[in-house]
Amino acid sequence: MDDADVERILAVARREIGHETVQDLGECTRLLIGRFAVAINDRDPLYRDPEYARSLGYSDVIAPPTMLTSIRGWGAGPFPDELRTDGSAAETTAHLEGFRRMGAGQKLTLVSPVVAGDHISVRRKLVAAYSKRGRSGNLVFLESESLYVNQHDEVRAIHRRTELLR
Amino acid sequence: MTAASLAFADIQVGMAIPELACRPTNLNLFQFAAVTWQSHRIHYDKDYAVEEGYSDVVLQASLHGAYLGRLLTEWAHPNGRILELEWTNRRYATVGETLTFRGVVIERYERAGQGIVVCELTEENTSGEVITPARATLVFDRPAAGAG
Repeated sequence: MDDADVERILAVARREIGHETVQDLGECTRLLIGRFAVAINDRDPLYRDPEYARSLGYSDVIAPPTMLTSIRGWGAGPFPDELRTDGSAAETTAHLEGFRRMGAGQKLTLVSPVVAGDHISVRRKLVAAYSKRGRSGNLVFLESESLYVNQHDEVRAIHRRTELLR
Repeated sequence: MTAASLAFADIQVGMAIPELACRPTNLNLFQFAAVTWQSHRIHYDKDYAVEEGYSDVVLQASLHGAYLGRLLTEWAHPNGRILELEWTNRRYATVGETLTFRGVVIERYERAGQGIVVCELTEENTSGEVITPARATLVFDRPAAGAG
């Protein structure tokens, strides 16, 4: 990534900062919660046993704390031949195409536990964009904030995520 | 289960959280990619991961966070829950590495009738390098074990 790439990405990012998009994600089912618990090898009965969860005052099983913010695709997503060579979905914004992206850090505020049956939507916005010169060249950091709410407008989580482009 | 549950009164500053060690396999990464619907090839296609300069398939950034979550909930549930969890993916990890998650209590106080506990956490790789430094705040708002 040369200096002109950095400037181009930052110029677009600065215009996007603060603009909120709202997306309906879908329902957190017992199946989704159970599978996520299996995938992280977590045998906590709070994620699998509705009776146990009710005995602790929850209306149903709850999700592991990082489930909501770990899910990258909530819909069916693109077909395999529509994915980029690296397997990720094509950028919705062309100016980010062609750069390698990776997660650089996350901050989760878990306002209340996600309960099976929650229908979640997310309000997302870019909050910061900046560049650094790393050992292997220029790096661009994009920080976004996502607010996850359920169908009753109860906030479940606030997720601040830093993504690195190189 | 309740009898062994950790209560706020049991926690002191300096207390260590029982460590969590795991050695993620291809199966673990596949299941995590499937349930999170993440199709990035570095997480399941070794040939492609090598092309990108990694030695093997790479753990998802969120999987490190999920294991940090486990470290905390296996210690604090059901009386305590995570309020905040913050981590930095400083270095990547590949499948087959042994990862060790540790934590220590650095602050403990009461706020509005709830017990608040702040912990510093680390994830180390096989070479003992801290690859994911982290910090968490937990809230203990359930009655102590046996009460109520």
